[in-house]
Amino acid sequence: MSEKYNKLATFGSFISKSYALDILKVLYTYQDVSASEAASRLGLHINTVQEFLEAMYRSDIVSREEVSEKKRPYFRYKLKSSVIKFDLNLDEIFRNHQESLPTEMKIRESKSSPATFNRAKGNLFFSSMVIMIGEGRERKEKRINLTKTQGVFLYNLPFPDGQFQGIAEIMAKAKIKKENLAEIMDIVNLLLDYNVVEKQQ
Amino acid sequence: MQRIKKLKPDRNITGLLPAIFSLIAGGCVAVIFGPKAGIDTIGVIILVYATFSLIAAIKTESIGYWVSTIYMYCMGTYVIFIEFRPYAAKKFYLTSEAKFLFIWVIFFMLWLIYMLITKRSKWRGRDIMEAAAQDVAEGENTYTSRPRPVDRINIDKEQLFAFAKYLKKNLIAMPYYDHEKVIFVPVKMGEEYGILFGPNISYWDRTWISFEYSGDVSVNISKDYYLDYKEDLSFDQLCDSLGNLFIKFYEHFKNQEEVRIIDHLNEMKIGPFS
Repeated sequence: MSEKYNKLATFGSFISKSYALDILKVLYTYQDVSASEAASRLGLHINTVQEFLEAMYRSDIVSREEVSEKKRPYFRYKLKSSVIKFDLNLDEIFRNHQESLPTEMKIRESKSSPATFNRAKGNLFFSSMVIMIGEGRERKEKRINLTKTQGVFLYNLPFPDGQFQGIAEIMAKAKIKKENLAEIMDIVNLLLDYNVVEKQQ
Repeated sequence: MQRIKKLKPDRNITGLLPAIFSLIAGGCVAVIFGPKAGIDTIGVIILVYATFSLIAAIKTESIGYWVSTIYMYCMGTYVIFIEFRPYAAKKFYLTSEAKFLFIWVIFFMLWLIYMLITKRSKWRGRDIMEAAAQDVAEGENTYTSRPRPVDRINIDKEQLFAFAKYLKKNLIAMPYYDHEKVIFVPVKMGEEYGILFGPNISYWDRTWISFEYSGDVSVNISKDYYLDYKEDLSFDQLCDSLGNLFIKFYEHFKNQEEVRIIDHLNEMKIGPFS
């Protein structure tokens, strides 16, 4: 996962704390501040404040400077900017993943597939499917609601004794656009895991 | 050359049930209320059946159902007009009305027999499934409940409606219409009562062939139809074959060669009651 995403995730998990806004106010008010100063000002435990400030540092919200002042070294934290901005570009995160999708993989429905497909009412595509998982009394149903694109794709999936077909080939037959490849691959991979679909060896 | 039948033999007696029921009902009434009440009961039951047959004739526009309807109305009325004379040598006496109706009963009965022999009053579901399976190889564990897209063809909507009417009129398949497609449901003998008189037919769970106005043809074969074959057939091939059979029928219809459709189904040598 990208570094930017990790920063945002850290920030997100700490910004929701009940004391977050109080500590941010202290950071905003003071030029720089140590964990013990902020903790004593807000009446919070030093470890709580220290942990929060470190999280803000990892998220790139504050800078820190080590000082000693003839005693044990400690950190002073300083707000980098009064405007906190994040942008998360999913293209950057997932593009590489999409470009490496194995569209040449040839697939078909497995023999004795554990799935039943439910057709969308009055339409020639599937709206959901139910996969039986486990054996005997442990047997469970896993219901998957499909997007229309996935439903159309699965409607065109070759039968258990039919010819294997490439994913791009099935998509072309089903008139599915290339932009939908990622969601198609998502369902195909899931169905491969559950042995609903098999790929040509 | 003798064809090897792929369907199991038909031992369905659903078609005989109405006749068996009317005889039992008439017999019971005769025992309790006397012979005249018995034959009158049979006559009334035949008239009720005739009304159902009339509904079927209106729904399908099949000549077979029209002949059957008129025959049954004549037969029911004829039976009611028969008099019972307990003290006469000839106990069942034909009134002049009964004699007049008897002529028509014979006429329509012969016509109906002709229709039966020529399979014009027969639902062709088994013929269709037999024809679809002809060149299909065996294949175990191949059944899936999914429908199969078969092909994309050029479809003229008006022509498709005319084709649907033709298939219905000749009892080849029952058409259902929606805003995107026509669904053809093959009907086997004995299943027609549910199709014709049942409320809210759920044709999606049955065997069907869909012709979309866009040209896409899809096929669904229900599990009970699949299990009606003696062997496990390759399901992919079977669906493909059924779809292509209907595409071929559509092409024959477009080329005004409807007789080829009937000829093809007759070649399957399925009995008139099966």
